[in-house]
This record gives sequence, structure tokens and C-alpha cells, in this order.
Amino acid sequence: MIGPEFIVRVEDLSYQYPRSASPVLRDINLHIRKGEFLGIVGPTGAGKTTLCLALNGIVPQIHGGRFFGRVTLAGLDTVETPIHRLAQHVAMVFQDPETQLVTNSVEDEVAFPLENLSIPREEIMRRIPWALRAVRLDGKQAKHPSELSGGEKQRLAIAAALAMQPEVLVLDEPTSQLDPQGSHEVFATVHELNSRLGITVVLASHASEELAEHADRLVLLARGELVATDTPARLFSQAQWMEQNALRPPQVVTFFQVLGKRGVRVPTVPVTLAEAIHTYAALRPAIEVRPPLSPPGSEKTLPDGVGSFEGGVSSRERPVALSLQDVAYAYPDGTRALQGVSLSVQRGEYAIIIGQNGAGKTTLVKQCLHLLEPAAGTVMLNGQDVCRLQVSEIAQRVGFVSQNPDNQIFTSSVEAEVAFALRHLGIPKGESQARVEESLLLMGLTLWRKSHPLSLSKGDRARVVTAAVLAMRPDILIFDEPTTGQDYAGARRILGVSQALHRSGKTVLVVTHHLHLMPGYAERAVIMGKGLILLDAPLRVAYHADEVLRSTHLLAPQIIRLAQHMQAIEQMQLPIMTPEELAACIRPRPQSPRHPPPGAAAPPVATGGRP
Amino acid sequence: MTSNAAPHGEERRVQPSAAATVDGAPIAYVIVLAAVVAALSFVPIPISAVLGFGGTFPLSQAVYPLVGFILGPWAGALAAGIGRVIGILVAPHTASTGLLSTVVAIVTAWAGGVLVQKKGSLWVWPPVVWALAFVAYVGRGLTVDVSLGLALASTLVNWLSILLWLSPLRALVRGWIADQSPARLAIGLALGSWIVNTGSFLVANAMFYNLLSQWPAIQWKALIGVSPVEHVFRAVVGTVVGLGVILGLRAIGLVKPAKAGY
Repeated sequence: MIGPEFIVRVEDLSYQYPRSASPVLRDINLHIRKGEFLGIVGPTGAGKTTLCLALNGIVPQIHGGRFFGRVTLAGLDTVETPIHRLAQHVAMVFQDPETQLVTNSVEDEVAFPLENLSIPREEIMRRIPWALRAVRLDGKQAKHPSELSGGEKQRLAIAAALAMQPEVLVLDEPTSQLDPQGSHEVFATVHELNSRLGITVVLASHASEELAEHADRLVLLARGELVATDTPARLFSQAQWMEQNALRPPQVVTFFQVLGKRGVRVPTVPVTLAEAIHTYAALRPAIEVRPPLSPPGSEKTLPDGVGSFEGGVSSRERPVALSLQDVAYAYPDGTRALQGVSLSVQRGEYAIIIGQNGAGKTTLVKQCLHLLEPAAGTVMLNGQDVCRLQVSEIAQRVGFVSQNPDNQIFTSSVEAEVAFALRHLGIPKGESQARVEESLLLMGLTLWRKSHPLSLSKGDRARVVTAAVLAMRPDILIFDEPTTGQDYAGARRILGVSQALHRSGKTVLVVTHHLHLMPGYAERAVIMGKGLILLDAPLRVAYHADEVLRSTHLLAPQIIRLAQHMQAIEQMQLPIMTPEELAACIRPRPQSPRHPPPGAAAPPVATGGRP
Repeated sequence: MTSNAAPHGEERRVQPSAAATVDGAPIAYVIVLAAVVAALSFVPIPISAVLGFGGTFPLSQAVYPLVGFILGPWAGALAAGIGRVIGILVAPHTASTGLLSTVVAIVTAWAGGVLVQKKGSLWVWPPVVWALAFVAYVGRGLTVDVSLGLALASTLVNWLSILLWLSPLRALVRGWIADQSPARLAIGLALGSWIVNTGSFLVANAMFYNLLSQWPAIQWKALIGVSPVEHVFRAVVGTVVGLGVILGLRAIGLVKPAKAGY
């Protein structure tokens, strides 16, 4: 049964962290073939990271704890073989790139593992540019890693691992901080390593579309147990598994499943865009496509089931909460992060700021908080120049959840962390306690109130910081990549909170790469590239501005790319944003044979947005 | 397997990778704590100057015992020594005794590591070292111009720490540092840091007084007031830093060095 072609064998693996009450992995049995591309999916806390760490011996050799069963990699037992020997066969990219960058330059970072493996100098010099080009970091060889943006750091960590050209490459959510194009390129690069060099790839991720495209097989973990292992096509089309484990299938899967409920017979649900285009072509004789009634950017309501074209028009009449006028900023190394940016955000508005890694998004946010001094221009907060405001005044008006939650964690319990700022703002004890309770409840952290923040996953730590910011009840909330590292349920929970705050009149700004999550929440999108604002438009318009998106390394969500393909074929505008909206534009031809599933007959499935 | 069922797999013996440890402490921990000591060496604390006595001392002095509590005696001594040497080379102005202050770093971290050991007879040696330093320092003072009464008053906190080390308090402190309660941990860190730092400072005084500069009797008098304040400050800083670090280390669940006291 177990042939020599298996490079990784996991047998009856159970693992319990020190001081943990229960195992985080339970009786995992898994064999990975040489040259296989294996994806690991599952909700937060499922044990994905621990399984990845068990493959290179970090679990249990660094973490300690109780380890049951056996893991062998390239024939080496990961409990008995020192990590430095295992590292000759397996390279790993961690979820948080900060934890694995150790040198003083980008070039040295890539060279470091190769030097440790005694690779000849000429070969090192050959691999460095290759690896940096693969992750779009060529030209930045001399930069200090600390000068890179979050996404660039992640790409650097990937480059260092890629350069090792190991037998097994383990990646734990390697694209969670990358822009969509960067994420696409990393998957493509990893796929190339897998298919051309035969490197076995084990990749844990929430990126369903990319996994569907590239993985040979998926493993579904939930509550530490291996629930299922199957091809992406079969696993993602199991609506029950997806629902039970709060996973998000690729958007095309949702689209065709909704079509099925609307009476269109879909023989096989596709999981990739290419398959979806093919399936759509096959379905065309049996369906009718009708465009939505209103043009993009309009506030007119679409037909039933299509949702509404929410725009930012009415918001323009509200008073200005935050404005930047001709703001410029350059970092000490000369990088011009902002080049005369002007932006006005009205009170009660919900806008997203999107753009490639290094586009200037976080720099712009830091200007709003006066964490950086503008070289030119002015930043006004409720009509006051931020340069004239005290930091404490800004903090009470603007709540900021940073990209890296660890930068905002100070105390030794979740509860103390949420109460930290309130204590320093002089909020009375009773009110402070009430706010803490409310924030913990909102972020689903009540059960972990006594836990040390560092004992939680990165996604949970982000929720702790969000709760701490919410407790201050600021008028403006800025979230920098709030859904990074979150599973679908966690992301929905955070965005749900942001939506509730928006509905209560707060101004919300979200910096994000997760475009597919934002319809239904945001009204407006600011697209940035190379320190400039390339487009400032209602969300729907921005999502269909394909050229602008591509110019800043963004990719429209999968369903929009499918709609654009359909637009070209059908010669009509389909300015949709969600699978449900696109499905509502399609109905079976009256004369075509229909095989509706029981009880799924007529009315189109509602919603333009999620909640 | 249900959540309560026993795992199917056989339980394996888990130990840190032997190739990458120093006396049971992962080499990465030694490097990290050496870096912490080096970084804190750059921060001069002007307590003495504020009190009208001398200049500054580096903040790293406050964490030498902590390094021992975390890594154990020998790995702690190594980390503190490496960190202090780097600190001196980068910020020589913070080391009034030059490279000699490395000896104090090593002795203090080593004594901190010894304090948290439950087994063995290593605990005998720190008071021996301190007592020898006491003799070298006070003995030399007596031969110059310092009276016995003044010498004993000036070194009150130092010889008191030797007595406390030899008392049952040492075992209590060790237990408090290992305690899961943050309050008891804080008390353990405060007392442990104070005893270890104050005792080990005799080595610094002995070296300075014998090798570099014999300060006059009036300075011995000034030390009666200044020395306890300085040592309390070191203990407070060590407690604040140590509490956060140890609670964090416990929370993230990284493997504990074999000789660690937390």
C-alpha cells in the first residue's frame, strides 16, 4: 500500500502543545507522493500550521509538547532527526514573514540558507536573481528587509525558500499578505517548481481559487482531525463540507451551484475559471442572459435578486471626516511612497484602499494617524491639521488596526489588552468594563478573555487588537488588512463588525487585498499604485476597471473575470460583483429541457451583497 | 478518535534538538537573549547621577539575573557574556570598567541560573564567589582609610543578599519564579533579581576598587544611600521585563530550556 513514491508519511499523528488541555492534531494519517502539490484547507484552529510544522521537525523539537505517532520525510523521522538535517530536504515559508527574516539585505536573505547548505558560491549567485525575479523583488537586492512592505517581506521569505530548491516545500498561508497579482504569481511560481523541478509542495491556504487551480489534492482539516482528502473539484463541490467548516469555495463553484438552484442543469460544477468558461460555453444553448437594468455606479435598484448598485454619490454630500491635500512622502532610502495624493473621505463613508504591495496604502494610513510627517501637503482630521493634534487626540478620534497585530499588543491577557487604552484615557471603571465586555462579545473573544494574546493564532490576535480599538469608540476606523490570516468565518465576522459600525454612523476605511470579500460592505474604492491614486470610484466601477486594476497588480475577483468573459460573448454589460448577482442575470431558456432540483424552482436567489 | 479518546499513535520521547543546545538551552534562545543584553547595554541609566553620585549604568545590568532564570546557569552566563561584550564594543561609554564588566554580567547571569536549580550542589558557589569578592573589596578598603563600621554599612545590601541566599528564602523565590500566578512570579522575579544582582555586584566593586580606582572614604559613605536605590531600580526593571517575557514564553508554548526556572 505504502510505496516508495511517498516522500512524506504521516502515521497516527497526534500532537498536544505544552500547557494545552487537548491535542491540536488527532490521529492524522496522510501520505504525500513525491512531486505532488497538496493543499491544506480548514478553518482557523484546525491544525493546519501545526501539521506544516510537524513536517520539518519544528513540532515537536522546538515547541516540545506530547507527540504521538510518526512523521517521516524523505525517510527521516522528524522527531529523531535534527532540524538542520531535515532542512536539507524541506524548506518552509511561515505565515508571518517577520519570524524568518534575519539578515541585513534582501540579497543576503536569499543567500543565507544556501550558505548554510554549503551550496557553491557560483550557484548561489545564480539562484539569487532567479528567486527574486520569481517573486518580483528583483531590483531590491540591496534593501534592508525592514524597509520592505508586509507583502514584500512575505515574498522575500518565499524567495529564500524557493532558492533552496528543496525536495519538499512547505508553505503556511504564503500569500495572505500579498496583492492578488502577487498571490497569483506565487502560486504560479510554486506550481512551476512543482511541475518542472518535481518539488513536492504542501501549501496551507484560504485561497480557494488558487488552490483549485494548482493543487493536485486537498486535505480538509477541522478541529485537528483529517475530515477529507480529495481532488479540488470533488472537495470544493461538496457544499456540506464547505458549510460545516466555514470554508469559501471558489466563486465559480458558488455561481454554478446557484445556477443549479435556479433550474439550470449543470452536469459538473467547475472549480477553476478556465473550466467555468468551458462549462458556460456548453450551457449557452440552454440559458438566457439578461443584463442588469442599471449601469455601474448608479444607485438605482436592480431587478429582484440582483441586489443594488450601491455607489458613493450620496456620501459626497456628507461633511468631510478626513482629507489629504497634495500629500507627498519619501522614506529615508529615497522610496517615494506618496506623490501628491489628494483624497477626501466623508463622515459615515465606508471605503476601501486597494493596490499592489508597496503602492503606498499603509503610508497613506500612517499619514492620517500622523505616524509619519508629510514632506508636503496637509492632512486634515475633522477640519483640523493632524500635525497640530496630540497623539492622544488622534487616537480617540481614529481607531487603527495595524497589519501586524503584534505591533499593538502590550499586555498579558486578552481582557487587559482590550482595557489598556481605556485605562489611559481615564474612562470610569464601570463604563470601561462595559465597553470591554461589548468588544469581547463583538469579536467572539469572551472565552479567551484570560488567555495570553500570544497564545492565540495570528488571526485571533488581530481580533484582539480590533476589540481593543472598538472599545475606544472612535469616529473613524482604519483597518489595515483586517482579513489577513482569517478564515472565511473570521473574515466575515470582522467585516460584519465594520459594517455594524458603519451603519451606526462611523467612517470606515479598509486597506485590503481581499477584493472578493468587500461587496456588500464597502461603497467606494480608492485604487493606488506607485504612490498615486489611480482611481477613486464606487466599488462596482472600480472592480470592473480592469486596466487600472492590472496596472497596480490587482486582479478582479474570479466571478468578475468570468462576467467579463461572458460580456464579450453576449455583447452586453454585466456589472456584477458577486456570484449571486451573476447567477440572477441568467435563467433557463423556456423551451430548453429543465431539470430543476426539488424545491428549487422559481424565485431568483437574492442578494447583491453578503449580509 | 473522539476528543476524549486516547491517540492511536505511540507516544514519542520529545527533546530539543541536541545539536543546537547549550546546557539544554536551544542555541537560538542564547542568541536572542545575548542580543537583548547587547541592545540594553546601549541604554545608560542616570540613576546614580540623579542621586549626585557618579555617572550612569547600562540597563542590561537589570536583566542579567533574568537571563539566568530563563536559560539556566551556563547558557545564561554565555548569553550575558556575549551580549555584554557586543554592548561594550558598540557602546563603550556605558562600561566604566571596560571589558571587566563582562565578568559581572557572566557572574550575575550564572548566579541567576543557579538560583532556580532545584537539584545539585551548585547553589553553594555563588555565596562563595560573593564572599571572596566581599573580602577583596572590604579588606582592601580597611587597609586604606575605611573603618570596619563604614565598610559594613556601605555594603549592607550586599552582605545581606549573601545571608538571604543562604536562608530558606532562596527556595521560596525559586518556587515563586516557577509559579503560574503572575503575582507570585513578579514577587519571585523581584526578590530573585535583587538578591542575585546585589550579591554579584560585590564582584564589580572588588574589581573596580582593586584594579582601577580606590575611592575615598567619603564615597563609601555616599554608597550607603545610593547603593540600595540602584539595586531596587535594577530589581524593578528586571521584574517588569521578566514578567512580560516569561508570561509570553509560557503563552507561546516554545520548548523550555532544560535548566530554565520558569
